[in-house]
Amino acid sequence: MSEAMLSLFLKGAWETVVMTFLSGFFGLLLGLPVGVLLFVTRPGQFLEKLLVYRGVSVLVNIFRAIPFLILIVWMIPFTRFLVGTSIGVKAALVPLSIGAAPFIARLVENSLLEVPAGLLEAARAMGASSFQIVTKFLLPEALPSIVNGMAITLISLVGYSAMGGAVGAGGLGQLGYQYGYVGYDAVVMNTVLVVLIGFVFSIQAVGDALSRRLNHR
Amino acid sequence: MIELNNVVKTFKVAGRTVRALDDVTLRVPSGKVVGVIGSSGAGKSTLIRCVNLLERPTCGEVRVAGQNLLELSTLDLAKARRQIGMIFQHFNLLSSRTVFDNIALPLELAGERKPAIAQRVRELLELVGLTEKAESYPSSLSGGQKQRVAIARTLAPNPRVLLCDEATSALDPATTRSILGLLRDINQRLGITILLITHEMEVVRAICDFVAVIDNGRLIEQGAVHEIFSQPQSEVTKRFLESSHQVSVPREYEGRTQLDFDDAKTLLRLEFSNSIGQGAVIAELYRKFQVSGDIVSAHLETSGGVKHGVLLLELAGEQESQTRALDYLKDQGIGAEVLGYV
Repeated sequence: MSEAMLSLFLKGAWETVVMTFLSGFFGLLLGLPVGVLLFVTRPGQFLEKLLVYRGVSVLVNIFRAIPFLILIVWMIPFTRFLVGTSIGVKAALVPLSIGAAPFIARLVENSLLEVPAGLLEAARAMGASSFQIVTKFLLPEALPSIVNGMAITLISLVGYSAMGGAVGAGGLGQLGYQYGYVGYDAVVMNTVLVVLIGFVFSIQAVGDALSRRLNHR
Repeated sequence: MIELNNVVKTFKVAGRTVRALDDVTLRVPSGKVVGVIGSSGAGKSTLIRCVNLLERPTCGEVRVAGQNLLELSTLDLAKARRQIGMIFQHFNLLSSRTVFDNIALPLELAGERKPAIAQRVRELLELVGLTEKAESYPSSLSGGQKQRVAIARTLAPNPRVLLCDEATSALDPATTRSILGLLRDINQRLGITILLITHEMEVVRAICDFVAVIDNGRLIEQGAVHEIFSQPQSEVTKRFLESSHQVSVPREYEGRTQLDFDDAKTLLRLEFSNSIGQGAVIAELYRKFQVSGDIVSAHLETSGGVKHGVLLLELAGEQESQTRALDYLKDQGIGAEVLGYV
């Protein structure tokens, strides 16, 4: 592999890392509050609000139903408005984050459902406010499970970012698409694959280790 | 300290209304230990949850330390709840926090400062005898130790009232005794009023001053423990008392008992539930009626200064003397039941 190719690889790998983790971060920023909202407004929960729960639930399902490739295209006007361009890593972050958020919201909601109900009863008996129940009881107890869920999300995002690469988002996806699919360079294509597989394995391993460390159940 | 006045709680279950609590009125005097006993589904869990409004009564009044809880705003209710500690059957500790941090939690919620919290937690660890476990996580503790942590956590904000929701039901008998001992100690040393619910007569016997019996959402009997134990009025109470007497016919008797007298001995089950001395009665029986007896098994206890229990007696003698002996026992107010002849 030539030196020019190598530097292209390094750039692509870096872009993929940035896209995966930044969109994971922004997705969590959006998805975590929505997941908490879904949980606390559920029927039978301490802030039960059926209308809110149903409304948010429908919205989350709609966004989860849109195929990612279509989401990118559909969101172009919004992406332009937000970051001023529809091409490149910065532009890809917008649909990636929006695509990840509802997924993360459901994962968070599910993680919170695993927290034993008795704990929330104890929290209320202790005189905890709703905010304290969320921050001092629910989230710390659900953290190992949320970390596992985030590992799954980041792995999906590696794949999504590669998909974005095909339509000009940059990263390893674009490299694989241009040199592999269009130019049919088997070496580049296979190297991209191996590096992506390496990413996925590393994320899973770190996620597992972190979750295990946090879990004292 | 705790007053429930005409509390009613109804639930809608599958379209029909269930009365979990039906006009419950209960007083828990300051500094006393009061037990509510009932079988599962009798409504005792709902009752204790109504005291700190984990369940809001459908109607009625709940007063704790003079405050009418149903009139409080959300914020004031949260404050009031800090004065009402609660411990649970399954402990409900946070798995993500160490023993130390679990006990510190209610103080953090109240916004106490770190040094004050640390000092208070150390005091409490000592009180429940878990100083060495401060940095352990709950998952490494035994059931009894977990309940001790839960008790320490509950005591942290200096509550005036402690609610115990089947606090010993998940523990083995020896651990149960040690937890009950700790609760009694807390009641006497700190003067904390305790309301507990249980389905075990042993718990009531061990630490309660007063007892109320709940059945089908109604309190059917209440009073001082020694009164209820010596003169149970309702069938439910009697059943609970009986179930706590672990006396059964030994296996080797089961094949031998027959239905006809046929010159045999009588196997009697005697129930003492009042203040008559068992020893005196049996001595009298032997002297007056020329019968002799052999005690097969017995379970006798004293609570509230009253002896009560069950005794299986093998009675030997002439048929007529035995019949007269039986009549005598009944005259003395002792429940005598012929189980068969051996």
